[in-house]
Amino acid sequence: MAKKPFSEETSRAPISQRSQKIEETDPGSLGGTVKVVIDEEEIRVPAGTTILEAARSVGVRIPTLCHHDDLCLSGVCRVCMVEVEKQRTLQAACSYPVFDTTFVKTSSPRVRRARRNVIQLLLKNHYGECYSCKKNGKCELQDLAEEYGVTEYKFGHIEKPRYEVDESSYSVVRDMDKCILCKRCVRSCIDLQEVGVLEAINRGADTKVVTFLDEPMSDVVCINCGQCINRCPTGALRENDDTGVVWDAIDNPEKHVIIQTAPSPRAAIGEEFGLAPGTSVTKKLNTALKRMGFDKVFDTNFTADLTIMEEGTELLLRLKKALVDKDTSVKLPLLTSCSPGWVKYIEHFHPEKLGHLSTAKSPQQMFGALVKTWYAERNGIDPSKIVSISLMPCTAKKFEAARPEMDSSGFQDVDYALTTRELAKMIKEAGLDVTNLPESGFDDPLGIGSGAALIFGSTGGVMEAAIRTAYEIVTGEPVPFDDLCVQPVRGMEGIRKAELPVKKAVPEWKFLEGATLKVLVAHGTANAKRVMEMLSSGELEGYHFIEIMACPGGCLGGGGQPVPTSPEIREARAKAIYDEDKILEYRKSHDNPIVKRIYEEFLTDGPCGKVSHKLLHTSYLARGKRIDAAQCEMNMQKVKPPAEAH
Amino acid sequence: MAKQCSVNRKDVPEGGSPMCDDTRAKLLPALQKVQKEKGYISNEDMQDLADEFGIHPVEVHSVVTFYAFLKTGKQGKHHIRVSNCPSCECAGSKEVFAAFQKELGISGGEVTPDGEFSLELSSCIGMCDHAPAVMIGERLVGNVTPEKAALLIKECKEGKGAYTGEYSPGAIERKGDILLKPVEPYASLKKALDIGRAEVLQEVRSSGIKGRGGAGFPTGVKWNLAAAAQSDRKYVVCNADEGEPGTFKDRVLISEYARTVFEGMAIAAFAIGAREGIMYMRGEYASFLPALLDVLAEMRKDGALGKNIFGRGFDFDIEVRLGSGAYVCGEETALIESLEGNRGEPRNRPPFPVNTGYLGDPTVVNNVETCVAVVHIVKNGSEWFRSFGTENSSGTKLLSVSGDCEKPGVYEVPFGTSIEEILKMSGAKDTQAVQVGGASGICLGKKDFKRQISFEDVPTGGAVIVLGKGRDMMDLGRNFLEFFREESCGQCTPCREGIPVLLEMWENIRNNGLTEKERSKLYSLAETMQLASKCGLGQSSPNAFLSIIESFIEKG
Repeated sequence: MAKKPFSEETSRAPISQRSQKIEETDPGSLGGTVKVVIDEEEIRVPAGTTILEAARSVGVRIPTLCHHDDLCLSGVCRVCMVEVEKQRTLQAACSYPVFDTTFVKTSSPRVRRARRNVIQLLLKNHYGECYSCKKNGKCELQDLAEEYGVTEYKFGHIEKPRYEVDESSYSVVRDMDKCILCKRCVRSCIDLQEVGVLEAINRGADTKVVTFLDEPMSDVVCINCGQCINRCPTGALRENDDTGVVWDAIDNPEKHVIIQTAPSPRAAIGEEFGLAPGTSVTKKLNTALKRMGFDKVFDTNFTADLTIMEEGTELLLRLKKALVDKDTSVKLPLLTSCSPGWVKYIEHFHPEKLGHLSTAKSPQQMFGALVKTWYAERNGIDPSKIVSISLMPCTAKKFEAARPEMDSSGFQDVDYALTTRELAKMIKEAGLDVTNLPESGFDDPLGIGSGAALIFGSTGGVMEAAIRTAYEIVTGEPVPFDDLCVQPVRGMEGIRKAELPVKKAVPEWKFLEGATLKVLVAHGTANAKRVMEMLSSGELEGYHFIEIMACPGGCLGGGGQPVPTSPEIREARAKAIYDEDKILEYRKSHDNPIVKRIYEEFLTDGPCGKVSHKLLHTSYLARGKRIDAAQCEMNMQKVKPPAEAH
Repeated sequence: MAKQCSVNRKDVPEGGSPMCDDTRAKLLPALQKVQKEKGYISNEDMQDLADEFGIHPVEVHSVVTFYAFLKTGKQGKHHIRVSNCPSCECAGSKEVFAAFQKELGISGGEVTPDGEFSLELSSCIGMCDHAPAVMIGERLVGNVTPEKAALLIKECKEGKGAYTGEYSPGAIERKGDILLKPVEPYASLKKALDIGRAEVLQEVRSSGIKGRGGAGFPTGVKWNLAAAAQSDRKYVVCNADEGEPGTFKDRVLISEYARTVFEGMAIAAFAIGAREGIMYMRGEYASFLPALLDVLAEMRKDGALGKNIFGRGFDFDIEVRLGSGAYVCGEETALIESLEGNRGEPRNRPPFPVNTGYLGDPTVVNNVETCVAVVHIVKNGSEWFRSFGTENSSGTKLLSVSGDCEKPGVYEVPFGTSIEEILKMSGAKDTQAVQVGGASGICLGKKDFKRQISFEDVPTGGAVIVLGKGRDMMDLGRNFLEFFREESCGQCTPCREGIPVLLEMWENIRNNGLTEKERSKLYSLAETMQLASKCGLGQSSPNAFLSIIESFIEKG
């Protein structure tokens, strides 16, 4: 079993649905490995390995649907059925651990008949036509139907929709008519993210996946992370599509349409065009965007650098207040605020800790605020004519852009946030192939970003960027790591801690001399939950700064990124980002010349000054998680229909 | 905040409360309490409980809607469930239901305006020998007629607390040589403690006894595997969730032989090294709970349960937990899921409960009847036990006989008894067919009446439904399919999606007869359901319908 991005010990999955693999056993020891013979192919695997894993290791493909490498075992769709010698019935390869010599047949007449029928049964209530589906061409069910020669609906096909499409959320659209009850979304939401929005209710043929009380997505504790979308095999879950309005803006000659692109989509969009994961296409993408008709193509990394300046300053100011002024009301550790999924998570689940959250806006929103002010002024463009688009790896960015308080420019700062998938679709529609375009640079002046900003895309990146800058501000020297790579905060462990001693300090920050900076990095809200519990219990006493990203792997594993996703794919994307950092001209946020310039000519009272407070900082809402009772009562009636009289 | 259920026990600090004893495993009892006190579980309750158990409200919502007895909408003060199992249907449950509807002025699923009554049709309530039967609140009432409906409503209103026709023990029609023979209290448990664990395991294995719930897994093998499993903690679970339509023999054992059942559990615990036992009893039998608790109290007083049993250093105690109306929880892994406070969805196997059962620990799940049999085996020896029954099916079997016969009730017969003999014993005349094994069993026509009850020929958990001349066999098939549609847990595709397709096919066959095309589709789908479903319920769900088609439709 691939390394899970969440902790198995605290998983809500039933014990039987955990991996059974015995990792500790020395593979050479007696009973440590077992023999498996798959279609004549003989191998030895560690005891407890599933048939599916064993088959994969010898290149035998077994079709799956409910199985996902990021999630706990399930064994409910019954597509991966195989024959196991001495077993009367067929067995689900994904959830059958082998503990002794096992003979498996992955393609017998019985197996093929069963798979065909199971696919037919799934198609029966899978409403709609492929060509009008957002997942057309990328649907796992569609692929299987093709693979298993479905030419007619053997058991019939539903003709009318049963559910209304829930389009209430800015980010996640649910079309339950396409749901095949594989429950990957449930496992993503409850196990992987521990947000707990989706679960199955009722039983038998009445089973369906719902939110609590079947409330619309906009009214429940959904944090818009989109991890469910990344793992949905069909078109039942998707992002709220903004491609139409963006095309309208591009096609409108009155509008000045700018797009900012974040680093994670640039490291992943190639996957939509057949490139291997981890192939960065930044400069080719710039060309594509310009050819599509965007008036300006800017780099979100610029405001990521600005975020470091603002958030880093905020941290140092809080430290000063706490240590020098002995102000006990100062909340430490400071929590990062650039992941909108995480922001909504803390607003729902830990509103009492909002004081710890940095008030600095995310790079997307800082960018939005500056485009319609600084950029508009300097270039003599009417800000009301600007349509500000962002390319993000993230579905929650859509919600963030729409937050009513995000209007410090006098307009909605960011008009539309596109996911990587949406933009890929638009590029294809424009007849462009990103892989075969010439390279071009970003436009001035918002086109320069540092390597520090680039690595924001990976878990630990914000922390590393902040350390590169804050350490240098305090000590006057670069961080003491080889090639500026702050290795202790890198990696894919769910929660990582690091300490950095400040041996000497410049006069302004003298009070920090001899101190040890203690930081923590977490990704995935399941780990965020652990960190919040640690914070409540006092376990994080003495910690100064904590980076939290809602999605596993950070932004590069965001809910708007290409599907599929897996630990290996996320690691490849991370590598692409870290490799690119090393070759950039500027490696530290405070070295970014545009950042220096904007503080000289626009944000003149410096980081965390008055102007930046107005434009670059925000406030939060203590949402809580309780659902309103009266509203519930009304909705309750429709949730569970009374038992039918036969 | 409460710790999550699935936290591995090894993480719980020493001396801390055992995992789940105060956490997720108590969710179902907590929901049952709210249901009982308020008549429903409000959204506020669900959110409160979610906070209390440290889980998400949608998870509570998910559990509540899984169980038929838990309601999210208000229920009447007197909730009336009319059983619609084949035996009850044959005896007129439809007419009874109509009479209740008429008397109360409501239909199924509704509540009277004064909030006094609510009414629903329900799956078999285990009163087939008193068909048609209803459940009023927790009380089981048998032999209801349309005329009696009005009387029962009157009795509810008067609040006398007892109803005409309420179940009282005494349904045994034939006591055989083993199970229903009197046995000296605790003699067997004491003997077990004397001869030691190895000897007990050996005796049970040698007896050749197979699980009495229907699946027929050798009990001795199960016990040996659990005994060999390495763990500080093990569990013995008694499966008293009989829900197979037409089965009621466990009801009789629970109400008349409770001490023997518990003694059997104690012997199992001693053999495998468990200190904790749980009886999971279907919610339909909730009215027996007080009596069971009395028996347990008495056994503790006698020194047969609790610490240091009979001064022999063996600790064991038993807790009774109730189900909440879900047939699938009779499947042992679904039962364990339910005990852990989850939806009763069967688990992947392997791992098997003997290694990874309740709360992840080795668990032996035995049917009520198996527990009773074990008491006799230990007392009288395996050789004696093997002298009854057949080569591969040793001992005797309790049968729940109901339907078109003069003397419905529980019969103890040795394995190898033919259908014909059973029909004779029960006074059945002009029998057209016999459904053996309930909804998951098979339907036998006249040509098969010579066949024998045994694991090698006609295996059964005990249900025998007699269908007299003139009964509509297709109707029986529909009844079973509707039962499965209602009771499927819904997690795996073949069962969830396959059963509604079978019902559509039923309709087609009813209207157009069995065409060749329909026939090949039916057998193909049935094969997939039998081979690819996750649990025994799904695997056996097409059986009854198929055998009806084979025996009564195919021939012409």
